[in-house]
Amino acid sequence: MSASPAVMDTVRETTGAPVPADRDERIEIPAKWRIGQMVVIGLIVLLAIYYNTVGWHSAAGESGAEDSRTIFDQVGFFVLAGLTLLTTPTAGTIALTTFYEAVRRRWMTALLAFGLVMLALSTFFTWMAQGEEEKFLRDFGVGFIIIMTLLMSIFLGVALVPPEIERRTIFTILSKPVNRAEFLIGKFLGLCMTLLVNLIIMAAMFLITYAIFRIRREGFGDAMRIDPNPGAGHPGLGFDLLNLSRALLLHYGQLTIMAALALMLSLIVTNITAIVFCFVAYFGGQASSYWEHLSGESAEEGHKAEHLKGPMQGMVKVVYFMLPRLDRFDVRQRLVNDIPIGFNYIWKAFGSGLIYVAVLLTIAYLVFSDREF
Amino acid sequence: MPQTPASDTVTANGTTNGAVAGATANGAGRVPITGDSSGGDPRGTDIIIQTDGLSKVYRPPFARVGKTALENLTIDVRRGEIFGLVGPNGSGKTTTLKLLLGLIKPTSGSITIFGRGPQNVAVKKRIGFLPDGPYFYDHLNSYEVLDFYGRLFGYDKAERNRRTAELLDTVGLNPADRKRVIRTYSKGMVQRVGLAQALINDPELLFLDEPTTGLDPIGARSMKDAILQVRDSGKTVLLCSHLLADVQAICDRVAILSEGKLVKFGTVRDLVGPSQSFEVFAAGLDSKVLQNAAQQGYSYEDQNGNSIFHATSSEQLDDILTFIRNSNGRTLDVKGHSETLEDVFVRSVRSDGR
Repeated sequence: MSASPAVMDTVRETTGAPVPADRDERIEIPAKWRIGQMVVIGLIVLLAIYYNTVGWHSAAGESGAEDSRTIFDQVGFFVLAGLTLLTTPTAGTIALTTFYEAVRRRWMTALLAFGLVMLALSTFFTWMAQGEEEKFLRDFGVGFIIIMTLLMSIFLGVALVPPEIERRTIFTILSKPVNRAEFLIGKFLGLCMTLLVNLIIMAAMFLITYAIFRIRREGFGDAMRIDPNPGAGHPGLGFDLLNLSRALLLHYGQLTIMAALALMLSLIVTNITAIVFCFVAYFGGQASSYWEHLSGESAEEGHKAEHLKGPMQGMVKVVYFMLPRLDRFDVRQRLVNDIPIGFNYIWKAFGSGLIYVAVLLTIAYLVFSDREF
Repeated sequence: MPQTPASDTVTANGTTNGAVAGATANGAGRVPITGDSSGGDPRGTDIIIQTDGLSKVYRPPFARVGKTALENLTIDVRRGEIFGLVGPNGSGKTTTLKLLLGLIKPTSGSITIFGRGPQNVAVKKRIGFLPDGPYFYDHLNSYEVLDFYGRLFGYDKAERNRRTAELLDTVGLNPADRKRVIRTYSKGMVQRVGLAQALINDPELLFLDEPTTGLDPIGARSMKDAILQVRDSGKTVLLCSHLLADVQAICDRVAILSEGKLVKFGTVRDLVGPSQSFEVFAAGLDSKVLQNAAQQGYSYEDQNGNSIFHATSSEQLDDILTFIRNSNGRTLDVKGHSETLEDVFVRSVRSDGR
């Protein structure tokens, strides 16, 4: 009886190779779920191929600059695939429950209701921007949604795991056949679902309000008319709605990064500190292209000579590598100038964002796996 | 660390077959478990939990010295018994429970549950756990909470529905309350849901942490009945409590912890011992007979025309009963008084230096 658990956990097959005794006793993963995992891994492979052949900074894409592939991104694809395999039905169950629990919180409902009312009433504030009502509506709507959902992602993110420990719900969950990675992934996915639903509801309210405003002002035919002359300042309503939707989709990428960051930090530092760090990372990340230029990492010729030198450069480099590249999700300039947001842009932002999320979740797991309750 | 005297080591069932069953305090004079040590114990001899020299030291980051929460604990729990883990606050009960559940890792020593480590998923499929003051996702109702726990075991929808309905009946949660969200529940109702979630997988081994604390007498009674019912259905229960009357009433074997050390371990019967004093209620004895009784050294008192004799040993009890019979009196009742588990507990803890 004094054999160590490690020894007890393994049995020897006739071949003599030790295998985990409970390998066939784990919660079985249904075939449909396995197929889903394989599809996601297939998408990750496609993303990796795209990255290695075309690159984030492809000539056909945004910057037209040389690509800078890194070993970190290559490792990131493997981490992503690993996390996909760890996303079991158990993680899905925890995600669903996290979602139900979050959407039934009164303050969440109040926040969402406030957001919806403000977006619905936004047309009444257009008097503040006479002659630029449409621009005002777009700026107000997108800005308001960004702020509200950002607050949700950070505040829900830091309150994802610590309350489970304080209230000891985690005791009953981890005493069931649930490993800690599944628990963390489930909590994170539940938060992502919550943020997605909130974003969709707010975005729908915003786009409907915007569409109604333009149709009432210009009439349906005029509103939908696309001026063939580029730069004429009258893209059709359809173009506007599509571009705004894509901008909000990109914002969702930022939200998932902030949620993962908040989750990871909440396991290491206190909630208040985690919230402060999240805001610092958010604003720092928005300016990551400046950090890139300062550190000399930028591939663009015009910035080669402008970067810092010596130890300062090293410090800035560290900051640059640690910060999330949130500016890749920022398309406000494109919205203002009515430039279409291409899929290349979305691929790039989501590809690098997913890798960043995978790294954050891996760090969170490493901290959480040794946590004693 | 004071060594516990050998006499303090209580065999699990007071057997005379020479095999010391299970445990010693602080490892002193530890005897390996050999063969059948159950003697006349009706419970099984199949050991399903075994800890060996289990210790836990909590060491804050950057601190040189840690706090020892548990020291060299060696116990075993057998299939089909209700095992009580008792001790004052800070004695290491909860630490032991957390170690057994794999929520924390031991500093030294080993744990095997069903022959495997406590973090093994296969083990977790066979256990249930009701924590002290359970808290659930309080925006969900009892159906949703149990459905959630059922999903974690991979049960399909029909199976989950069946188990949920059965268990809510078993724990006696009113149908009207089942669709209310948990945050509107009383403590007793939450405790019932807690027991239901612990039983969702029909576990072979049930861990209960202070299951009756905070419950009203009816609630506590129904919880105790439920625990006995679980035991009677062949399951094993490890009960952690400081309500010693409850432990004495329902546990088969008990381990008493103090300051992280095991100070007593054995069956409840062995720990509290046989009755040591008796009261004999008699009628029909006149004053002459009572004077005679006093002359023979029997202690007695009058109560409403009846006599109450006090015997300090079983031999004296026999003598008094014979005396009453020979004096043509009637024996109305005999009451035996033995130590309670609380007496044993207080003595054990005090002798351990508290």
